[in-house]
Amino acid sequence: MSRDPEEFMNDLEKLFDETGVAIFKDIQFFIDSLVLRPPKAAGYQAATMATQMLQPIAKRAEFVWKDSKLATITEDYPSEINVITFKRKGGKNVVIGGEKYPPFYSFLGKNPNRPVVTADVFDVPIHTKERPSILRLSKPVKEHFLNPDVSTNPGLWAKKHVEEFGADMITLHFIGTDPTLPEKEGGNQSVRQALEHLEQVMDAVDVPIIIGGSGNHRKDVELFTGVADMIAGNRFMLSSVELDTYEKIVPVAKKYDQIVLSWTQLDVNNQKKLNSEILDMGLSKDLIVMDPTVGPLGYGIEYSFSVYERMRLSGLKGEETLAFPMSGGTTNAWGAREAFMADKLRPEWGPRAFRGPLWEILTAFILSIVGLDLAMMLHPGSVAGFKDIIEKLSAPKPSKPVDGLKWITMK
Amino acid sequence: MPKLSPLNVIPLLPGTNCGQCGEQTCMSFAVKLLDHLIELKECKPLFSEKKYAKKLKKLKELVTPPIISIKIGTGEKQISIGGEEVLYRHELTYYSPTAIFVDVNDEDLDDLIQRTEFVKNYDWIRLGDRINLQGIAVRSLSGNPDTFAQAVKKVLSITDLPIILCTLDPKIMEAGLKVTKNKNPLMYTATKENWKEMAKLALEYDVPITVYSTDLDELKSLCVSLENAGINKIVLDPGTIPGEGHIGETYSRHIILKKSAIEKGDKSIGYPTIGIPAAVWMDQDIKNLSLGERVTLSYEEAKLGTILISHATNLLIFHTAENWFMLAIGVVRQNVYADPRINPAVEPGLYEINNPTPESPLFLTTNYTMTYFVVKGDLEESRIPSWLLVIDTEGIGVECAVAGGDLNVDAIKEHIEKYKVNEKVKHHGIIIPGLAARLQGELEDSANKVVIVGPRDCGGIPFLLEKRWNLEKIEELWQEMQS
Repeated sequence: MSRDPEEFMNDLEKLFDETGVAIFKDIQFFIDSLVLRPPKAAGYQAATMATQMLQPIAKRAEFVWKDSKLATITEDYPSEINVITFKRKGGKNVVIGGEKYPPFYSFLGKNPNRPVVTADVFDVPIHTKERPSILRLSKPVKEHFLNPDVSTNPGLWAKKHVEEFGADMITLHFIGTDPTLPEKEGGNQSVRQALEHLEQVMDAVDVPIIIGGSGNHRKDVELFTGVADMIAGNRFMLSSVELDTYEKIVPVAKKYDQIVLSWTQLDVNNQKKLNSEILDMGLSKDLIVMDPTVGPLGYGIEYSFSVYERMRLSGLKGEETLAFPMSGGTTNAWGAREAFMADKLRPEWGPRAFRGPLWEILTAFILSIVGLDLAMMLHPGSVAGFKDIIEKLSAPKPSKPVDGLKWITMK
Repeated sequence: MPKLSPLNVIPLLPGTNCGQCGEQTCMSFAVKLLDHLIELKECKPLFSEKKYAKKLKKLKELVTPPIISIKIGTGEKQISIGGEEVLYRHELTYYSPTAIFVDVNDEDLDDLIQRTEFVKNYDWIRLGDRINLQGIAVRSLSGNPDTFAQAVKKVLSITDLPIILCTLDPKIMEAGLKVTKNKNPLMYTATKENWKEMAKLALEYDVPITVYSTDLDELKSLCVSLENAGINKIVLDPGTIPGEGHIGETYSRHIILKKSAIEKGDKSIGYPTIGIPAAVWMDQDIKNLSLGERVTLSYEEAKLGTILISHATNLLIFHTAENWFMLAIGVVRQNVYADPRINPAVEPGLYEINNPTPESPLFLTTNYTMTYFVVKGDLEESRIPSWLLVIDTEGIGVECAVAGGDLNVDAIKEHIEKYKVNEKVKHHGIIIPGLAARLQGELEDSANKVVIVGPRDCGGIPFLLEKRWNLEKIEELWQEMQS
């Protein structure tokens, strides 16, 4: 007779509880191993044994340790990503690129440079009720720069990013130079004003600077040409050149030894085309960084993720037009409503103070796993949180082993 | 292992182009089969006719994914993890989204109840996808079989979600297995030390079992030893260890396992993987941490979860059970598991929302799926009857479509005409996204509409309508424009 062990056990327990004794007759043992458990009482032990004995399955199984080895993974990545050095005369240099393997594949080898952060600074003050401005930042971001208000002086703003929040570089976005934006809100600024702002930033910090255009094609050419003399001797980056503008901007970069940011929109073929056009114009390959566009977490990061991953793998496998370090406007994360929406509008999302910075960190971090080298960031907590995980991931293999099963019994 | 081509499949199909599967030819069946757009069982002759038995057997072997699927739990809430065929999602897509579990322990029952309720109730729709959690990992903290069994029972009384039984002690494991009989829980975990006893339990109760080792040779040995004992429902844990240097090693081990299975075709470790971001809390005096310290640890846990989801770790156990945390993790998973083969565009056209009348406001947006869903969702939620004109920008969002020229005045005019907007909407107002503000002037001139610039985020639409939508005033303005 074979019985459901649990039922059997229950019956036995009941019997034992009632009578204090259980007698077994005519029981056959079909088993070749036996597990004994500490008895609650003598009768319980007997019940347990009997239950164990009624398991036919153990009879067939063979429990022998089979020593086995996992084949070592060897992968051939014949090419390397170009090394880009941002240079600040009399100040700090920042190096990105040079990868030989996909990011954080430490089982293959170590890449020479880790992803870095460039923090956003703007040429217009942050919008407040009293001060209309084209620069509207969400509350969790702007509160870090309004008290005291550093946004009226890009130099002070940059200093705060570098000295207090640990940014490696500064991107000065000249959004106010767009002639189509209203002057009373900071738009339509002249190149002369732009030069003043740039000077403020250069005086305030000793890190390399990225010159961010407004997106107005005609004005961007004027801007990049206009600042060239002032930045000569440094190696900064002109951000950005597109298929529509590269012909006018690349010669400036070439003449003044500046890096260009080659920007396309989530299209690997367009990126290859633009990069090869830039190379064809004679710009050295150590002066090109590419930006295939960041869709933030929740709003298109899956496209960015795969475009970054495809481009990095292609670059490592020998595609010369994609063997460039990659930048990304991970600040875009603050355009996601999960990051900026006020608590009272979305109570079910939990506190914005927590979800906001996390949104920016995860946007930057998940892209760094597939090739992002330069994260353009905004929130100080996000900068710190991103740099922290990159450091932990890049650190050498620890010699001291850790018991990874302790979590089972954590309090 | 090289990726399969339809040419590998064709010789194993009947080749009669019978059409019973709904495809015109066996070739097109083969293509769809490899893209998971059709199931093997749709090829009826292959199953019904004896002469194809050999072909069927070969074909089944051929299309079995290098990482097999394992089921956990039973009934409606049962999950299936694994089954992916690529390491890089752009090469195909990932299937079976990472299952997300939350841990509870057997000593703090109030906490257990609260956390189980959280997991059970975490369920919502985001941009057309369901965001929810998959199960509960019950840890034996007490070290007592009865206490553990009671805790597991308590969880079962609250929910029928899948369960993971976490203990290294076979006696405690058995206590848990007894109360989860027929619930198909996952055992966590067998190690080199306890594997024999654990393996016996896995056989006896016929449940899936995890194997753990940070030494991947040892992990493989565990798999081979279990397979030799007749066990094939295995989940791999190569260890999730937080902290400097350890995180990099953790990620590497996960990638090595996937590469070995998927690219090298090592069948003996072709099983789903499990990661434990909750491990960031071990060695911490959790109850006495400050809020700041807790948030810092949760951030670390989220980052660990993100890197593991990014390359298809199949099941994760988290400790932080809070809305803001699961929001981020849920969206990371939603994005990574989105099918890259699907065009991110919806059909352009004039959409009716909440049964509009000819007097209802007219909104405009682009046909990027995510933009469309957000705008539609907000309008629906606000219960405002309205018209939504969706412009074909080839699936580009508003900001980029304006910058790149896909969203322009001519395109808007064409759509107004093509979708007969002026026949259905009897006023002259149109609300454009705040991010497309620069189109306002030109659009007023050339489309002969009163253009109202909406908020930069559509969450502000109800406010806009309350303050600035006035049909009489719009018509007055329009009259003025005509003179």
